[in-house]
Order: sequence, then structure tokens, then C-alpha cells
Amino acid sequence: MTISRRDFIKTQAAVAAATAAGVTLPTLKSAHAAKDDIKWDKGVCRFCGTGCGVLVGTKGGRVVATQGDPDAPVNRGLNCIKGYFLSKIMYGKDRLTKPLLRGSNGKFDKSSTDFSEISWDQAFDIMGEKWKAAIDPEDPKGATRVGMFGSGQWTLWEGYAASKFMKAGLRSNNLDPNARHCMASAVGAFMRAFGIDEPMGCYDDLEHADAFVLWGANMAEMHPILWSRLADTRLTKKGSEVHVLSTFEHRCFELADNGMVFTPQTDLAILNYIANYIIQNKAYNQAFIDKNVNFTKTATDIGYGLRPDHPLEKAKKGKGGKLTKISFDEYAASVAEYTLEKASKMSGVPAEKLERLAKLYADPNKKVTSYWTMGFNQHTRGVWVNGLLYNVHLLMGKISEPGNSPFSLTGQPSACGTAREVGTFSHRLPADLVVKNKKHRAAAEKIWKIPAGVIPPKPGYHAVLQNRMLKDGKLNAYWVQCNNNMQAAANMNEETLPGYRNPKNFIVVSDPYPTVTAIAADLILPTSMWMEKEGAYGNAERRTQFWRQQVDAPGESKSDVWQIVEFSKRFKLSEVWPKAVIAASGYSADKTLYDVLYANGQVDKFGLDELQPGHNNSESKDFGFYLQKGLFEEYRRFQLEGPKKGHEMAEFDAYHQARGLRWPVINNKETLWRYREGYDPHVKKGEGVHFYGKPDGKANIIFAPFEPAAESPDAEYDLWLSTGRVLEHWHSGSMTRRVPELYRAYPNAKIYMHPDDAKKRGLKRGQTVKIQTRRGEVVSRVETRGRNKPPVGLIFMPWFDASQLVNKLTLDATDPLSKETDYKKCACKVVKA
Amino acid sequence: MSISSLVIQTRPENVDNVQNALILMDGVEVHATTDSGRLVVTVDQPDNAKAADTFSKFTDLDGVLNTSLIYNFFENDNAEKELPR
Repeated sequence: MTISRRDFIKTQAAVAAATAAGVTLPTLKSAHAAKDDIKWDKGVCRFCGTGCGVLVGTKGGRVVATQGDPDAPVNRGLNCIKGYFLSKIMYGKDRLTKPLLRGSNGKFDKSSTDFSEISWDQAFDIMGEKWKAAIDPEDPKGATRVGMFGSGQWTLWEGYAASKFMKAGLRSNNLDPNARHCMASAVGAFMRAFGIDEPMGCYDDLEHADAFVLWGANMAEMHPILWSRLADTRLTKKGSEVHVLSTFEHRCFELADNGMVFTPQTDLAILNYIANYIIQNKAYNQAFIDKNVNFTKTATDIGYGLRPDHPLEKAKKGKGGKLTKISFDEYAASVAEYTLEKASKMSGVPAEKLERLAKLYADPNKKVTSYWTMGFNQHTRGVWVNGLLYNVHLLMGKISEPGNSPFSLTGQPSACGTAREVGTFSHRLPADLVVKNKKHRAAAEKIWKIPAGVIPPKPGYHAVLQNRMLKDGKLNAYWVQCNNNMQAAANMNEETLPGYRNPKNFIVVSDPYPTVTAIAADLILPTSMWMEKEGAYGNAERRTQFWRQQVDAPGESKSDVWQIVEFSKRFKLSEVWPKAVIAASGYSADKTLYDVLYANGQVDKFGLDELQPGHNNSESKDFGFYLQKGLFEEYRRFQLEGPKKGHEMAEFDAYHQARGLRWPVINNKETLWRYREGYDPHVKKGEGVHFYGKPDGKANIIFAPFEPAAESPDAEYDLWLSTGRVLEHWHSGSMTRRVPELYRAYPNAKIYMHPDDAKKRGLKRGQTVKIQTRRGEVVSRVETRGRNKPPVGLIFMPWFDASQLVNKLTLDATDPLSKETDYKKCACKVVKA
Repeated sequence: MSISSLVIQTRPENVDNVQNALILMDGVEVHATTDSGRLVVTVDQPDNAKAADTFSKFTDLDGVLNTSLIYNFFENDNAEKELPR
């Protein structure tokens, strides 16, 4: 190693950073042009919903380096610490390379604690046997005893192939993604208010807004790249400001002009106060309201999504999400009780801070962008609280234009693209269609070339219900792909684990690593990940981004889409569809689901000659056609021929060229702001604003009151427990904990606690403690300093650590509308270990 | 050898203080600063673990709002042999 080589590399590094910072280092310019023997190609980060572009460097069949893509509009060359170590996520020492069956010598034994290696053929043999035993083809309700739990980390075509396999193939709507745990409340609110999913704005609002308000989003740690853009605006734009609301102080408060710590659940009251302030001061945008808004109220006292025999469910008087039209005056009267005094008293936020926030929203000359993530979504009134924020933006007309943007951030790289857009929810079909709508089912059946009546009309089991049904023995053949739900689902000991270990059930988990979920399974399938396959993700701003396969997967690993399509060969139509339906279809009863779903003249339309030279494509070479392109182009027909407009995407090949495109894409032009003339091609000249997701073109303002959390602290369990994430780890840590640098940076979970709470319990910083709830106990250590500073009465514990399973503690209460779990609120106590 | 570069975002009034703290750290160089409070920094350490330790110190400095990692080059004695040339 010569000095000059070291200096050369350092120069290259400095130039890259200077470029990202917008500075020129004149003496160093030439270094950038130098070549190394690493091959670079564009890719997308594997982690959060920001969707940063990364350049992926390969050498000798391995990914050896990544760097922020300077040409990516999302991150402009920046990386967060997780993204920076991306190149290492595929190379953990315990990568799985062979299918593993519970038992010994290839023989299945549910009671065994061992696994033995089997072939893929044997794996699909036993899966086929278990699935067929659970399916009665003549059952009019469809296959209710089989299920699949997918992911917002699936590529678009993985989710699409799964949706088709389950709903059109097996006739089961028991398909749900882990995005149920993170995005379902946001989806519910979009549909109720606008009739079409996903944000109207985009990341460009980060530069256009005058003020930012964070509602239950710790962007500094969870969306660091967006936070960096936000900070840049705050520090360079005169008069700009940042307001941060949270149930505990976190890193975002360092930039906050108005930081507010509120009592959990009182965001409902604060938002109604802001609406009340706007009305009392006649600050609302009358012309906008008259033309673009309907006023409604929602059904109340709707319970907490617990099991029906839970006392809270028996006590509820209302149910569901029915909306009733009301007048503006009735709406004004509904929010009138939420005065400044009341909101301040309920939330614990000083009145002057709340008033400053209300004035910001009410100022017609301030462009406001609001961000939220899990603080709003993981909430037993998640759909309501999302809606209450839309109310504020709609009253002011601060929506669908640069800088005025209510924006729901996502946690997974394709929560939008895959989980939401291709129809992997238990009630959905591709492109915003739903199973219970007859026209929607008919449209899907036509595009899929399957007979009428195949898709069951009743929504299937959602994520939380899947675990309950496994425990109750009503769901018996179950496949988990691309997520770690044993660690992620709430109330693990009482609800999740008993279902996986129920002797009536056969559980299959596909994963690159032996996660907590994988080792609870009966069959583990080794799975290719990230750059080991051709992929596509859709990020939070409707941006669809593609990458090509860069390396081959280790051992016998296969991608999720390969596994689904290959498994479909195991089913003859006579084993899954009713005789009458097969007769009407014109298909022979001996045809396989593979023939009908994938080798259908559409998905297998594009040949291997279309593959990009220089890149492998493992799945396509196995099946003999360009699988990803065929799946995507068939999916596009839902956007172009389906009953709902507004989801149009460009042709497949365009995405391999572009750094992503934001849908709707019309004539190869992306859309930055939806529903407004001049920005959205679906809004005609002279219409101004048009919320075309609703039949009358008007959005709903929906009144919802404050209602308490499912479980609040009391004399015995005297603290709020909030769970969440940290900067260094992504979700359950199955990837980031295998990167030595990230492991070392934050090796184990701990509880963040106020020093007074620690003192009161005789606890010192660093001391080992037990955290106890009505459901379980976990051992951790106390942190009274550092990045998170909870108020007295609340502790925060991250969930990434497989050695401290915080979901033994949490309550599986959900929003009854979105079925999303509230991971932010339950009651706990902390004692010396 | 581990060489990385970062952009550190501070409040503009804190740039000088942060720069002074950074240049005292082992293996850390500041190449440029901006009026908007950004610093262009490289970190030169024997391995990535030590580099990661250095990064975590940045976030703890008073006035640092955000750090973004831009580039990393890592090489150890074995890596050279493992990778076919």
C-alpha cells in the first residue's frame, strides 16, 4: 500500500462528499475520473421507504461497495449509516443455503427442535401435501384454511405474483403484508378522504415548504436523508420553521423551533383544537371548501380490535367506519369543545406552543408540509388521526400544491409499491381495486384470463387475525415471506407463538437468515435477497424504481417470486377450483396453476433475448421467459384497463433507464402533485382542484372525537410503553445486526427512561431491569441519557433486538378500521432484575 | 485501511465549534465548510469498526443535526487475496 494510493482514495472520498454538499474542491477535480476495477450499476436501498438511489459496486461476483447515487433525485448522493453499510447485508455468516425441515433425516416431526436439510423438490412435496389437505375445491367460501403473510419489502412482481397465486389460484384472500403493521391506517384514511391511496405531494415539498410539522415521526433517525433535506431548507430559507410533536423528546427536537411533548393519544384532541382555532378565527379557505370538500362524521365508540370476548370489545356501543354527511355548522359545533385550554390540559403541552402551531396552519401565507409515520399509524384511532390532519389541511386548502402537503411517510422500501399498489392486502386487488366489489373482481378475472367467480368476495384474514386463527386452529397451511413476524407482531407469547407451534398447523418461512420467525417454522426456505435478483420498489412519493440482478445468490437460495411461481406447478385446477368453474373456464382440469397464472400467454410473453447482457436473471433463465417483465406488463393492464384511473405507470423498460418515475405516468411524464390542474394530467383545464378518487370530485373532512387508548397506565402498571426503531438498525435487525459495524454501534436494546422515574424506582443508568406488562416480561438495561428523553411516566424501547423481544410485552389492540396494531401505547412497570 | 467521507449538517452558527472539535479527532480531516452549516469530512481509520466508532462520536457533538455518509473504501490484508483480480 503506497501513500499515494491512500491519498488518491481519500481524494475520491472527499470529492464525492463535496459534490453531495454542493461544494467544489477545485484542486481535486480530476480524481473523480479515475477508474478502479469495480463494476458499478444503479440500485435502490434495501431499507426504509425513503427510496434512496445507491450505486452498487461488484467485483468477483460479490457486492463490495455501495455509495449514494449522485444522480438520484431522492438522496442526491447522500447515504445514512445503514445505507452506507448496505454492501454487507447479504454476507452474514449464518446465511441459509438449503431448505430445512423440522425433524431429522428429512422426516417431518412437529415436536422436534432440530432441522435437517432437504431438496427443493422434497420441500415442495411436503408443502403441496399440507396445502392440499387444507383446501376443499368445492368450498363456496374459497380456501380459508391456507394463508400467506407477505411484505412491503417484496419486489413489485413478488407481491403481484403472490396476490395472483392466492386470490386467483388458490381462491384465498388470506394474504396480508407486514405493511398492515405500519401503513394500514394511512391507507384507510386516504381511501376515506380521497378515494385513492398514497400522498398527493412528493419530496420536492421539502424545498418548497415554509414550515414543517412532524406528527409522530422521528425523521432524524428513521428517514435521515429526508431529514437532511428538511434541515437544509430550515437553515437556508429565511423565516422557515420546524414544529415537532411526539410523546417523548428525540433527535428532531434539536432542530425544532417549537417542540411539543404530548400525553399519548391526545393528538386527537390537539388536531381538533387546530380545526376549531381555524374556524373560530374564520381563517378557513371558504372558496376551496365550497368547491372541493364534503363534511362528514364517523361512527364512534368502535372498540379496539381485540378478540371479541375481551371486555373492551363487549363494552363498545358503536362499530365500523360509516360516514354521515353533516353541514359545516355541525362540523364547527363538533370541534367547538376542543378549546385551547382543553387541548393544553389533556395533552400537557403549554398553551402558547399549541397556539403557535394552530396559527401556523391558519396563516394563509405560510406553506406547510406535515409529516407522520408510526406515531399516527400505529394507533387504535389511526385512521381517525390521519383524517384529522387532512381536515386541517383541507380547511385551509393547503394541499396538492408545492410546499402545502400532508405527507404520510413509509417505513418499508416498497410498502407503497408492493404492499399497497399490487394488492397484497386481504381486502385488495391490484391498482386500488377491492375484492368485495363485483365490478373490481370481474375486471381482475378478465385481465387474469380466469373464469368469473374464482376470486372470493369476502376479505381474508388480516395480519393480526392470521395469528389468532393460527392459534385457534382455523388457519393450517401458512407461508411467511420476506419478513420476521414472530418478532414484529404484538403479544408474541399469547398470540403469535402458540399459532406457529399449534400441531394442526404447518408453517413455512422463506428468509435469507435464521430469524426468530424462521426458527419457529416447520420448513425454512433459503431465499435470495436484494441485488441477487432483478427488482422494483415503490417509495413513499409514488416513485417506482428498478434494479438489475448484480450477483448470484449463495447455495440453493431462490428468490420469493421463483418460490411462488415454482410452487404453483404443484396444483392442478381440479385440486383448487370447483368443478363447475373449471367447466365454465374451458381449461382442462389437469392444467396446473402455473399454466393458468404464469404461462398464460401474457406473463410468459417476453423472451430471454430481452434480458440485459452482462446481468444474470436467475428466475427468467429457470422458467425460460422474462418473468419480471411479463408480470409487470400484466400488472400495468390493471392501471390502463381497470375501472380506476390515476395509477398509470410507464412501460417496463423505461424504469431500467430512469432513476425512478412518480405515478401517474402519462406519456412518459411523471406527476409531482396530484389533483391540481397544471400538475396532474387527470385534472382538466378549468377544474382547478379535482379529487377524482371520489365520484363527486370532493374530498371528505371527517369529524372524529377524542377516545382513550386501549390500555393506559394505572396504579400497578404505572408507565406508558412505546416501542420503535433506532437509526442504526432497520426493523427487526435481521440484516443490520449482521453488519459488524452497525452491531457494534448499537449492539442491544435498552429502555430510555426519565432520570426521575429511574430514581423513584431506585434504578441507576446501565442497571439491568425487568419490564413487565399483563402479557409478559423482558430483561433490558436502563438508559437515562442519550438521544431519546422521555417525559416522566413513559419509557421507550426499540424492537430490533432478537435477544430482547419487546413484543412479548405489547398488546395486540388494533385500529378497528385499519386493523393496524398500536405499538406505541400499553401499560408497563419496571423493576430491578 | 478504511477511508470514508461524510457530510455533517450543523446549525450555521455552530460550524466553527464543530470544525474545531472534529480536527482534534484522530484520523478526521475537514475539507470544506458551507455557509449553510455543512462540513465535508473524511475519516481515515485502520478498519471499519473504528470508523463506525468515529461516526457515532460525530452525532454526539453539540450542534450536529445530521451526518450523511457518502463514500467508503475498505480493504484488509485478506480481502486482497480473496477477490480474484
